[in-house]
Amino acid sequence: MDKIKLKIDGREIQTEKGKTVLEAALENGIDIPVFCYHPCLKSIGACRICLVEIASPRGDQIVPWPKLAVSCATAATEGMEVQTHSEKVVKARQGVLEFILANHPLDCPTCDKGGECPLQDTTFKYGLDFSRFEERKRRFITDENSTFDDLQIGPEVIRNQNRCIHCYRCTRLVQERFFEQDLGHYQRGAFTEILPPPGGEIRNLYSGNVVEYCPVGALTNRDWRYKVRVWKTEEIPTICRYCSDGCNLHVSVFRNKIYRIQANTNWSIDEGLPCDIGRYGYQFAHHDDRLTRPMIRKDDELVECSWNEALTVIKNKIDQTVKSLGSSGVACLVGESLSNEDYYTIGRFFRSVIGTNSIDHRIYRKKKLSFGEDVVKRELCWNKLDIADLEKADQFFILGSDLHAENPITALRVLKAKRFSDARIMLLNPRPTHLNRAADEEHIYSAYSEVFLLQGLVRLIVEKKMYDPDKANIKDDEAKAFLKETADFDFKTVSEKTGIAPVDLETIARSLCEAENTIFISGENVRIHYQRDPILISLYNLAKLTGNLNGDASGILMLGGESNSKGCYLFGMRPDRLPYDKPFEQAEELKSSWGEIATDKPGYDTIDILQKINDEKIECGFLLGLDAADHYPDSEYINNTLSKLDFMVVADLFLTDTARLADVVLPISSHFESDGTFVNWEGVLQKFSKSIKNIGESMPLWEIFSKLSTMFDADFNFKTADDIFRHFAPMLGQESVSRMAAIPKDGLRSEKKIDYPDLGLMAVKYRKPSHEDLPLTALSGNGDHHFSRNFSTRCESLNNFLADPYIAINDKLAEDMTISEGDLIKLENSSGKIVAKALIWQNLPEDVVFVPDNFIEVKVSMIRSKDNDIDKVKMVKM
Amino acid sequence: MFKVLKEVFIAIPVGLYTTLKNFFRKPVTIQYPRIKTPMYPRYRGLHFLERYDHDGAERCVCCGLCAAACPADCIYMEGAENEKGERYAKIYEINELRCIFCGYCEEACPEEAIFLGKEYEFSSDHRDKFIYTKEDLLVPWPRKKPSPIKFIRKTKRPDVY
Ligand code: SF4
Ligand code: SF4
Ligand code: SF4
Ligand code: SF4
Ligand code: FES
Repeated sequence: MDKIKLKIDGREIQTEKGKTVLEAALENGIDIPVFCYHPCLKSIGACRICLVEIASPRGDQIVPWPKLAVSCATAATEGMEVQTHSEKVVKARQGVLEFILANHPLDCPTCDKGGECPLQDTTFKYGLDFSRFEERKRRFITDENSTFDDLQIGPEVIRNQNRCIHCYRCTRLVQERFFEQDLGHYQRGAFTEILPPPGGEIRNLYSGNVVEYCPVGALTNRDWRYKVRVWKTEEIPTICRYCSDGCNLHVSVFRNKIYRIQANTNWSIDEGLPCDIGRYGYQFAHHDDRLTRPMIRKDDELVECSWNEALTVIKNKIDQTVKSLGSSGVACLVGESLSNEDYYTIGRFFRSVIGTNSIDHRIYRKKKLSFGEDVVKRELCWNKLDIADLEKADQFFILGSDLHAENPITALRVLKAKRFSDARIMLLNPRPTHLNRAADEEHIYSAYSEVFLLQGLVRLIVEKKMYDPDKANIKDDEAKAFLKETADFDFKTVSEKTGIAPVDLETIARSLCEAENTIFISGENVRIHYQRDPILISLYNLAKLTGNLNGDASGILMLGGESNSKGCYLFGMRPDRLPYDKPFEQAEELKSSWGEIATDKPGYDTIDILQKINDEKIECGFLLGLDAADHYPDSEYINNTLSKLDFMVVADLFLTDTARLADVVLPISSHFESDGTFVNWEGVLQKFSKSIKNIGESMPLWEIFSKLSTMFDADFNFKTADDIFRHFAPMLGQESVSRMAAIPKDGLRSEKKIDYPDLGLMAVKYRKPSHEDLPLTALSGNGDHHFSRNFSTRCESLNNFLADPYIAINDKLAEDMTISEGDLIKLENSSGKIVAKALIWQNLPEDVVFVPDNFIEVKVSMIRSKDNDIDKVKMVKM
Repeated sequence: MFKVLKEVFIAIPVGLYTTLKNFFRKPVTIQYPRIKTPMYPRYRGLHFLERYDHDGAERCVCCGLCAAACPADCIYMEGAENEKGERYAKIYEINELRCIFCGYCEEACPEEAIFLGKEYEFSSDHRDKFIYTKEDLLVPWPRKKPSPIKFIRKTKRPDVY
């Protein structure tokens, strides 16, 4: 970037060419008030509060500009001299403020923005303390009986048009960044109104941001409404517990209760625009369902007991099991959204105190949990890009991923690339997803035909020689061999199997070859796919062919998962790996602090653990922060298996379906009640802080297992989460970070490796899936504003967006079966059935139904069976 | 010897003279509670919360400024929305034991809602009784006697500010 020099308030300042005067000033700590400017948006210069005095060189003279200029929309140029606080400027700002305030109701006492309002602050700083305006103020009356003019314009957004200063931050955010259409401005001049389109509501996934970034109280929040004053609350930094993006958030706490969550901008991750799930998803913490005391099964009923009693029972039972079956009689499954500190302590307890390696977190797949050798060799298991790198790409190939609902912030970056550098978005999914609002191409392929699609594309590119041989690094004989091996993937078959027209296949192939940098993104549908490895390898082939194996804005991302899925991998929540992803061979170092660890053979993974329970080789099972009974893709099997366990300990926040089967239920604290760290999909380690006291007698898992360890005479002596962090900090390989407090504000980023090894093309095999002979394929995912199970549905605000489960069906199918929207329908197969209201989606393929898998009432696992690769169902109208 | 005599004949009569002088003076104490001293116009006693004269609506909007101004931190409130969508104080409490009757709350209030009245007879036998709730503080409606306050703003939401 070219550097330029200018003078602001007499200070020599260096900045990059292309920046505005405002940005140059703000970067250097010079304060200029703004209302309409926002770093995420293009400048429009609507409010005029950022006026400055500018003089720029002409010839060898510095000539003052005839008028004041808005600094947010004036590019900084070489040699400029800017005055930001001269008498003239201050007077002009006072004038601007007087005009803004002419129509502003000044009802600060009743306004929720009061105390954090840029208009209030700026008026305090620049404004005159009287008003010359004596005329009638503009007023938008929404209810004749009320003295308040508030209007609810979305499930969580309330508008008071009187206060609006027409900065258009809200509508620009919605349209420019979120690519949504649910907020716009109507009428003209002073009477411009901010409204959703007629009959609509603002309900996009990022809608909370318009409230946060409205510089006045024109848009406020339903949830936070009038409850507390902002200066009463304490703001504590935290990390979102939902998806694997890891947004930085601020919790507002007053008297030990969380009242709201706001953004805590991390420019490299969330850009201060978290999604609503993170923003409103705190409410489960104070939900009445929270477990407050340990429970123990007595006479077939769970009764409350003391911690001491519960832990003693656990200890005795473990001893008993180890005596009868050996330590391999104990196994542990963990959830994906616990903290690294939890994982470390759990791992240490099971591996060193009990001596079992049967620990796993992978509950989402039916078979083949670990990546095959070919995937590992190609280094496809680790994402090598960062969220910020997405901005630089010029094409996205999104496969089998509802990116919008699985990784909302990654989706936002994809959209940013589209908005600011016109990147192309190609969506390939078995069902329509909401990202299609901005997609250049959307192709719906027949469910589970990914291997055909990808290998077909690869073959097409090779066959038609579309690739650039230099970039692709492929020799002719290699290409020939590949063509020969993939003879069954000819153009026609692929088109037939995938249901994508030949011309479309060709366009996809062509645009893949034309773009400079393509990022391939796969999501949850691939993560749980029965042919996950072949899909990843085919993606690798595609990336290789199109020259995207190396470069800082190209590559393959495997997304999905929950907030700390990556932490599970890193901190040893797999049977064959020790913390920080070390294989057993490197256990020596760990042994010095952990003592003896059984490293002769790996433990069992989830699939084997369940099998061994059925074989009565495992008697004592721990399910920690994991609702296995709901998550495992075969409800009947998991329920039967778990009830065979002789002794089952469940630790969770709520009495989940799994907890109901348990012998001992331990209440655990949420991440708001403890310090800790998460690792997001990029591999950035971020810390969250304790913001409220533990609810009831609940404890974080690390504390429970530290306590338990003392009963086994293996005192870990972990008193705080920081104690644990200090234990594993040396493994992170960053010397400066030895305590939690030393983690940088933007998170601890590990060194990036960008290039994938070039291992040539590899043909993959298509395996016909096993399935029942029924007409419909059941797909599941996240419903609007929900994520995973148990948590988001316990948040009132998120339920305001979507409260009831549904089954989405195609309109033709509905017509054929005379189903109208809202009718109860049943999906059924030999595994079980689910019943929910019908929702009609026009562009859903006819042989697919979609069920959001978030709601307690409807469990998709009921119609899944571990013996089938694909779950087919038939539909019955009730 | 001389010393003792001096004490008996000089010091004691001098002391008694003061006693006698005060014995015949008009007393400074009054017969409270039968008789009360006059009150200064700016006396600050127990708080009260005002209402709008025309419809009896509470003036307080739970803005929290009184609590922010209070040096004794003795005001607690929780806001909510009433059936008309207006902001009001669901809970409004003053701990009169901690209050130092400085009157800052009255000064801070932008809605002319809280005032310090002339009431000082609110002793009690229990600490809890000094937590005055909104119901205790609100002036009764309909009013028993006209408000002593001269309000600047007569209605909640005038069209002209
Ligand atoms: S509602 Fe707020 S953000 Fe939107 S234009 Fe008005 S002042 Fe700006
Ligand atoms: S769910 Fe994901 S995108 Fe949404 S706030 Fe949480 S981390 Fe961010
Ligand atoms: S009079 Fe002073 S101390 Fe008492 S409540 Fe008001 S501000 Fe607080
Ligand atoms: S300052 Fe007045 S309006 Fe605000 S909370 Fe206190 S009494 Fe109510
Ligand atoms: S911030 Fe520059 S015109 Fe609004």
